[in-house]
Amino acid sequence: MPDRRNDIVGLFRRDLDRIELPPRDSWRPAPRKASYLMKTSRFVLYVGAVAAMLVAALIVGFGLRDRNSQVATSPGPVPATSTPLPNTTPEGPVLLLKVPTGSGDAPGVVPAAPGGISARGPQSVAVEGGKVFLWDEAALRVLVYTNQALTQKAPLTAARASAAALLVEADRLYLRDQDDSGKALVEDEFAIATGSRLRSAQLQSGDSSIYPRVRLGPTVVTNLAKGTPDPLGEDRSGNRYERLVPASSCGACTEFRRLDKSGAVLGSIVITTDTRFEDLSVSSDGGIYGLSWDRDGGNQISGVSVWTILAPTTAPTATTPTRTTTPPSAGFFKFPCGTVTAYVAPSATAAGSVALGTASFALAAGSGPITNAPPTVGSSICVNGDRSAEGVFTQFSISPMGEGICSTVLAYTPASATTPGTLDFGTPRPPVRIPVANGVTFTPAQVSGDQCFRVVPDAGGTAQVTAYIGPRQ
Amino acid sequence: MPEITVERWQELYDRAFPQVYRALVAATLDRDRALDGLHDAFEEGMRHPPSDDRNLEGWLYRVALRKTRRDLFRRARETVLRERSSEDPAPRALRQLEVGELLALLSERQRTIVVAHYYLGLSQEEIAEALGIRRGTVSATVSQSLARMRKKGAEHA
Repeated sequence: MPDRRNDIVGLFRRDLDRIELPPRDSWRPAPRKASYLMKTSRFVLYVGAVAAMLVAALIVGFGLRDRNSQVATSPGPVPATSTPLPNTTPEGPVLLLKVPTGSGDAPGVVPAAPGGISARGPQSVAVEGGKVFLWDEAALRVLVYTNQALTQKAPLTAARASAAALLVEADRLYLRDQDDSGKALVEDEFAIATGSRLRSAQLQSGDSSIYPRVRLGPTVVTNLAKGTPDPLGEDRSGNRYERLVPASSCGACTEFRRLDKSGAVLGSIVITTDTRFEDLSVSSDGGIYGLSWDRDGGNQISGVSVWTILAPTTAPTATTPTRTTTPPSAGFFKFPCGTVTAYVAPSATAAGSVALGTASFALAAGSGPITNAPPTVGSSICVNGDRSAEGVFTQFSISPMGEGICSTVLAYTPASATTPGTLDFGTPRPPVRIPVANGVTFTPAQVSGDQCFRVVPDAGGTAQVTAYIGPRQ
Repeated sequence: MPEITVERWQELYDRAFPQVYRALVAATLDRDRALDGLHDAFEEGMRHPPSDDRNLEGWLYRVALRKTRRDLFRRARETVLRERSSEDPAPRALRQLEVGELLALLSERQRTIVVAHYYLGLSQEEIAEALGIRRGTVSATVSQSLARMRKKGAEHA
């Protein structure tokens, strides 16, 4: 049994992370089966309603028969009413694209693997500007179809094969996946024209997505609970889209809805289909599209179909995306580095502070330093650690300036020869954004996952990233 | 702090699921209870999402635990608990791990607190708030649990 806290934490993580997770589609609750009690209650209510109607009919009948009598009667019970179905007509989705799978330019199929892993075709779809974008994970590329003809192939060699949740916005593509530990999401941004990865972000709980608008994924829940809406995403105007299995029985039907920001239903459609949608996506102009796999007689995947479920609307007129394509700078703190001009050590009960040049940073009581010696006046240091929403360090450590920072890269904007770029780091929390020195660029691999970078002050004393050191060990 | 929407809630839930599920399995030694508790917590979040996404793992852990306890009492009444526990392979599999062997020495209450502290990374204050107990109780429970686990470790050494 280890003694040090870090060792105990390491032991817990090492062992408990090996506990097998249940299948992904069982993480959320499946539709509940009616219990005996519920069935009984429903039966009693049903019988009660019928009895009430009979009583009412008898009263009315007696009333009619004894129209001339002076016997007063109490008002009859009101018959129970059923919940009406949405005011739409059940109909099927409209086929938008149908292509066979295969090799070469055709979308591929990832074959089945031992261990119960089924074969799978293209995992995700997006429809924008009259074009259909298919994420062809078997070949790590996005296929673009215009009027049912293949017009572009965008190789995404840096993409994760298991990614999904394809979203297209302007000249960018986005994919999302769970990381290998299952604890975080990985989001990538690509240039459609070149297929090169522009940004990669590993998102822990509470981190902001790099997607320009909300998009379902990476998985689609197959067993929806009745009456529980499943959000699909947003269009560029901020209207929300969702699907649900109506609480009222309507067979194999699903309702798809468009709602405004206040939650008012702008439009809906109820479809009845046996088609299993592998992915559902919302276009920026408010269409809902479904992706399904076609199967041959032997139940092998032979093609892929894209369906229009809810036609786009011309109603939304706003053209400004509801979310910016880059993380808001307001969500980031400056990475504090500089020459120590004052230091008041925090105690277990009293707060402290450290001043770097003319800037002062508050240190909460009991916040540290947690790993090394306290700073001394005149030394050049960086302060690392978690901070509260107000910017107070809740735990901190000190590193000599120039030693660098090791953290999870959330996002990267390359610098040009004349303008600085930025690197966003996921830890410490909240994320920090550090400028990248002019002319310094990194490869996609260097800005993916846990990496270390050299940080030195510029002429004005602001910390900036000047070089790549290597992956975090 | 922005309000958590339904879709944000579902996204957060999916992200937190693996760690909270594993913590619940370690605390309850019962995979079914862990999953049932999380399902109930998911629905609770759909109806009344937490006020913000700070310490979401703590929120899910607390709500799921409350639900699993309720479920435990129900199952006890139905007298199927013993049968189910012996059939669930989770405890046996967990005991093959070093931590699992040590956790098995503790009561469910002790496991709940120790796992929250060392696996979910919750502070003693957060655990006290989540479980509705005093911070001193958390501190004492962690100390007692560590002592018990160390004693076992020393016997093995």
